[in-house]
Amino acid sequence: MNGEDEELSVRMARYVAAEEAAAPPSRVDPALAVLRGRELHRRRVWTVASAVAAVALSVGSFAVLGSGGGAGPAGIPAAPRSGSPSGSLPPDAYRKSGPTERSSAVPVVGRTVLTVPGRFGWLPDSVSTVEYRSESTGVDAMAYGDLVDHDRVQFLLTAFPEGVTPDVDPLIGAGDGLRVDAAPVNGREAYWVTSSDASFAQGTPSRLRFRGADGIWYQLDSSGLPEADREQLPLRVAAGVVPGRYTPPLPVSLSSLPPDTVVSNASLRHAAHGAAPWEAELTFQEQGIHYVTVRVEPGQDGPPSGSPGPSGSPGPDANGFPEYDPGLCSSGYGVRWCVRELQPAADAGSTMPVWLTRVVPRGSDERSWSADVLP
Amino acid sequence: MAELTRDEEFTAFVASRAVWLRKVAYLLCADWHRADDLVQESITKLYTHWGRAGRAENRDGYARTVLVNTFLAEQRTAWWRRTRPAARPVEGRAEPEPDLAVSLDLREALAALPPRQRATVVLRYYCDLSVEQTAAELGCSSGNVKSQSSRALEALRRSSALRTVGRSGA
Repeated sequence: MNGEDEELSVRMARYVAAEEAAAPPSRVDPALAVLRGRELHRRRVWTVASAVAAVALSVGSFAVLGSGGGAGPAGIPAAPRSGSPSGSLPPDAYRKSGPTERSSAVPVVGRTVLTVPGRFGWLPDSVSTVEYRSESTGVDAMAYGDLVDHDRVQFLLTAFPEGVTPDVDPLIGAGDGLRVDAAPVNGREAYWVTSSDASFAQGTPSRLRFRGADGIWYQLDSSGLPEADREQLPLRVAAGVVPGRYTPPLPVSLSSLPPDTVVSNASLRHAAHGAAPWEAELTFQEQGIHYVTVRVEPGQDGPPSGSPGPSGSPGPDANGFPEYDPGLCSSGYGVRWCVRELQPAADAGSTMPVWLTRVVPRGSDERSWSADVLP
Repeated sequence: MAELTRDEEFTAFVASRAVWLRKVAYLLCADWHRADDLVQESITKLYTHWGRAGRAENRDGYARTVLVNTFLAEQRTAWWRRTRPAARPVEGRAEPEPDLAVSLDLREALAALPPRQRATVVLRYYCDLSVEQTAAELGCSSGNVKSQSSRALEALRRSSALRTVGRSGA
């Protein structure tokens, strides 16, 4: 290094040290990375299983929704909506006790933990899974296909708050953010968000914003589409979107929760075409740092059998990733439910069985599911 | 037990490197909140590739490469709410102290660099990597690193970030 190089090194070190002194507390959370990392892996594995099961179980569904599809809802659980509260509680109503600094909770209203701003209607055959998600960072509905050459078709539906008219970011990529009028969606205003940076615009997901019948602005991000479909498919998916809050019934509820516990993630994924498979997952954060995941999926029929226990020891898969360890599980009534903690606490041997007893499965019949999840 | 060992190992690694990764991320993006997001996304990716990271000779370098690539990928593909560099007002200080002025100059000068040049500067001059090491982390040739560095330094000289150093004083 010459003198100028060394001076630059010193200045950068001094600069970042000075900035660090006034920096906000770090939000980096290794436990959350483990949680999301597992979730990513799990989703990849699940889509493969979903595709296999969908083919096996619902050839008829494919036929109905075959090429060209239909305008009706596709793949949304047909269970009746129940107990979806329309009122609202104070923003911190979800907290079971005093908030902790590291809490990262999802919005909870009453006993409900998962409410998305809208749901998909028509979807192309290439979509195999519909998922509703609520995290501390937001809520959305996602529809995606299976991985093909590390890519997959994906639609992500989000919404702006009521009364908010979104702006286009002034800078997108290396160019100006642009609003390009799109064909109206169900006769209402719609536009694409893109960039004057052509190379950026070509390589990015397409972003369509459209106003729903409820006056709310919705946003549909699409990726993994063939070039020929990048405009027409999102428009058609958008036209099928059912606007308005949707609280999917879930196959599980909790009989009790320990103090200082919040819900940090809630999701329900479901085969897009056909009734099964499905999977619901709730993650709770205890004392601000201890994460416990409750997962429910189709399982054995009949009453709960045997004593709960771990099902199989995890070993690495072909990619070196550990096999998914479901944790402590029980099954019955066509459902299997498991509890698992991210970082086992010293008293894990006693707390996980207690968590398992808190889980109240609602069976495999979606008509018995409910939006009322919390005690 | 295999997974527990893996998770514990990962958590220990991230806990010991989070501060350092956050600083590198901050130098790349000049925003602590965004730096946190970058690090969080990077360590999530790191977790999903922890087996590969464990086989890497230089695990720190692997983590840093994931971070830099995440930053560069975001520049290309994410719909990040970016404001134009140097547009941020300096609040509450009409006449910054000399050290602070140097920091502000450097921040603005770095922010004005194209992302790849900025990443090159951070790797070369903050992380003290050689040209060859930087090329390996960025997945490009040594010649490319040299040209990126040269352009970046030229831009920094034109700004006040390096003006008082070396030749600028001549």
